[in-house]
Amino acid sequence: MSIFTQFFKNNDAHTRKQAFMNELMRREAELTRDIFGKVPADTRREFFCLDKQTWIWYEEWTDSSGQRQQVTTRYMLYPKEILKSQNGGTFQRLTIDEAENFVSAIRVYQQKVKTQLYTPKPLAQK
Amino acid sequence: MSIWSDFNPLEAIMPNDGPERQGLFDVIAQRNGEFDYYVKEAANLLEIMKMATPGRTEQAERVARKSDTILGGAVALDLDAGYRAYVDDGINSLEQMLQKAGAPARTEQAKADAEIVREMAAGNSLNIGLDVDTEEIVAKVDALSDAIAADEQMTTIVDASEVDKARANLMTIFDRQSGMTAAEGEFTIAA
Repeated sequence: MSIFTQFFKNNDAHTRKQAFMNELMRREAELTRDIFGKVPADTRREFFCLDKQTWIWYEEWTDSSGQRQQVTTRYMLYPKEILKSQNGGTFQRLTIDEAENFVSAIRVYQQKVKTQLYTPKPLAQK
Repeated sequence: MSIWSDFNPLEAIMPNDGPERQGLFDVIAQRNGEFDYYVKEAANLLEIMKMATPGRTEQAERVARKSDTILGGAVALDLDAGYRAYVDDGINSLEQMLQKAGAPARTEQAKADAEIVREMAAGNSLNIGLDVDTEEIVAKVDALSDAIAADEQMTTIVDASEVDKARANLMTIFDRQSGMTAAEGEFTIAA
């Protein structure tokens, strides 16, 4: 299942609009996959904004024993702190360094999607 | 190669025309517009988390022990964890109580406000894990609540000038919280 669709229930409420939103997230992630540095050839990395409270970092790679590994990190913006959970585990508060890196990352994300996906060549009004 | 060619790539997933096309324009505009808020919110949370660093715990405790007002205790708690919203609630409640003093019909509401302050003090202490004088704070709120129940006696328990002073201290500390030392905190409360 796609990393972009597994967070949404695939039922009657899964509308065309939601599918379109998933496609926007996929394109955002494609555009911003390098904001944490160069992605190794055998690594799949997706970082995207799921909703106003949640950011997802998905990473999949091959370890030294040849096994495929994957980690899904969910960042949650709570009223007084930023938390993270990996692979569905308990939520932990980010350290200050982690929080600073996270804020820097989403600033770059914002800049990239605004300038390279949503605004440079306006869609034609028909 | 850039994902950009000679047309907007989103055209590839947009219907050619009709109301659905306009609806998807709205989705794009909403998604694009939300990022400013997301980044601002995350940056604010980072600042709140910085205020809650362990180095401020001792300072907050010392300020709390120097404090002889409910608001002062709340200020000290706020120093440690950035619970400004709670403190704001406390200020509003106390201001409302003062305004209501001498208005017997509002006694029940004033007592309810006092309860909010009591929960605020206890809740902050639990969240932070500080050894602050929570019992003392709660006892003061109890006394306040009793005074409010008597209404006309309220001003003998809560002096408006004391609350004004505490509020001024609060604002001073908010303005200087990023660089204040423990000694400065004591001075502010004692002033």
